[in-house]
Amino acid sequence: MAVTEEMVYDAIKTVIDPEVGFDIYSLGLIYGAKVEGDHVHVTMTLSTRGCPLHEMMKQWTKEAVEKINGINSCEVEIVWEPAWNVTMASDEVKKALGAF
Amino acid sequence: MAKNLATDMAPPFILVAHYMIAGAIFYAFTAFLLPFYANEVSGYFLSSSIASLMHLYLLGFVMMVIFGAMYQLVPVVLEIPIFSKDFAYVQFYMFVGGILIFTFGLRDENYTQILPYGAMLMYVSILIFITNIFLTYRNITRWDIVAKFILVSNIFLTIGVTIGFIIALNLIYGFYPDILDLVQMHIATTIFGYVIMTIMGIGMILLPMFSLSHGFKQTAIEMAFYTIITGLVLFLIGTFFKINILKFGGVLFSTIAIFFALYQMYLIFSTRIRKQNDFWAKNMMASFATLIISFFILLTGVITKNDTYYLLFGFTLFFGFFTFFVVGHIYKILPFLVWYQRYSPLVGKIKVPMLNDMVHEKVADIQFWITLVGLLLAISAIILKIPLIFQVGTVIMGIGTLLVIYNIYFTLVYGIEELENYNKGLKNGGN
Repeated sequence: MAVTEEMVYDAIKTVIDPEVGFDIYSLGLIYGAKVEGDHVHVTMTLSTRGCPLHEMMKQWTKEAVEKINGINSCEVEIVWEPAWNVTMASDEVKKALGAF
Repeated sequence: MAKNLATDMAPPFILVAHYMIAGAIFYAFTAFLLPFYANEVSGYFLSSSIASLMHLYLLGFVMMVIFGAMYQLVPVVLEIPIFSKDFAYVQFYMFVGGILIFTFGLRDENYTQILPYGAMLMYVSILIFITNIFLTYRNITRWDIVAKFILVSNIFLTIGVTIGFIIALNLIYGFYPDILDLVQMHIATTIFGYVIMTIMGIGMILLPMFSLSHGFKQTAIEMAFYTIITGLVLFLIGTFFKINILKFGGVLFSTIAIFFALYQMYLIFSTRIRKQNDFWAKNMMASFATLIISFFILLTGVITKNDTYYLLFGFTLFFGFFTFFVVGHIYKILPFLVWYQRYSPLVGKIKVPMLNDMVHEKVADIQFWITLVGLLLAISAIILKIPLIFQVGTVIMGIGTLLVIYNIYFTLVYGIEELENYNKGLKNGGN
């Protein structure tokens, strides 16, 4: 069975930001995932540019995606444009953070 | 394994922990001594014993934690590795030794002969820190407002500690008659030029990061940056050449800069997404409130020319603004360091805690209110000149300090037993 973007997003949902307490997909930090055969290219951002978890988040995302059956490699690219804001987060996260 | 700016390039956890733990010990030490100063609350604000206590607190606690935090944050914020980790170790031991010798020499007139040695140790140790920062800047590519603040604050620190060293030598050898001028320049450059400028700069990273603030303009902090530099330069020239109008202009510009920075902090807080007023948010609000109050006290002192207000200004700034700001960030930085060391290799293998779980929230909350009540009592005592109330207030503040120490211990030992059981399970063939 071919790996779909949805399967990649499900894997990424296992990565939790330990400061905020939510997974990085629900936080809206994932901008896209492109599956090309057994390789995945993930584009993501972080809530703050000086975040000390920068490289760890990238590594955890890569490891989570590479656990998917049929995926051999994953490249994670951190981008700063567009800058993250809370409207990108899920309703559940917005509610929990008090952003509603 | 991925290269990690926060950890691989910065000094290891154990070094930053050295600074944090030493800072906590000096904090406790100061808290223990503070009630014994009750009879000096109506005294002259530049007595050597008060100067000794202020140095113990500022250098031992505030600057110790700032130095440790800078080693952790500079690589992350500037996206370059620290020039030398070894420098950071050498600095630490010299700094601790220097503080102990210097403050003891300043406190006890029978031991003033050791004062220059302590001053020399501290001076060299801080120069090592500054050199490390300047050499780190050789490779910088991003010149944002935070990078500018860190650079300029370290230039002021160089001036400030050099003046401080001259004052220490002057106390023994008496070669410069206008020591009060030197003291004022020393205070301006170290407290405003270094500590407050560093807090302004690093605050632009820490406050939005922990409050998840976005979409605010940075014009106010940029104005604060240029205004505080103008203010400090005017103050230094005015004091050195005894030109009162320049000195007054310096105070005015520096005060305006503080209010620009406060307005920036307000903008950050007003756009914050995390609305919960947790222990960090409460500490931040109290720190900025006490900063505002301290400046109104300073203004009253300038108008009334009453020394008590200068003492009160220093007390409110040190034990209000600095305490709440530093303690609030210890609750954020220390859990991250311990979490990285202990749990980051286990992500995906076991359920790892959130960073907030690693602080005892209830104790942190009680500590905040106790510290606030104690501070307000101590401030009232200085205004009313009632030593007994000062003693009660500072003892209550001391209880708050003990609760901070408990929470540091709580974070340092968090999950050790659970992880030992996990490792035993692995050895026994479990998963």
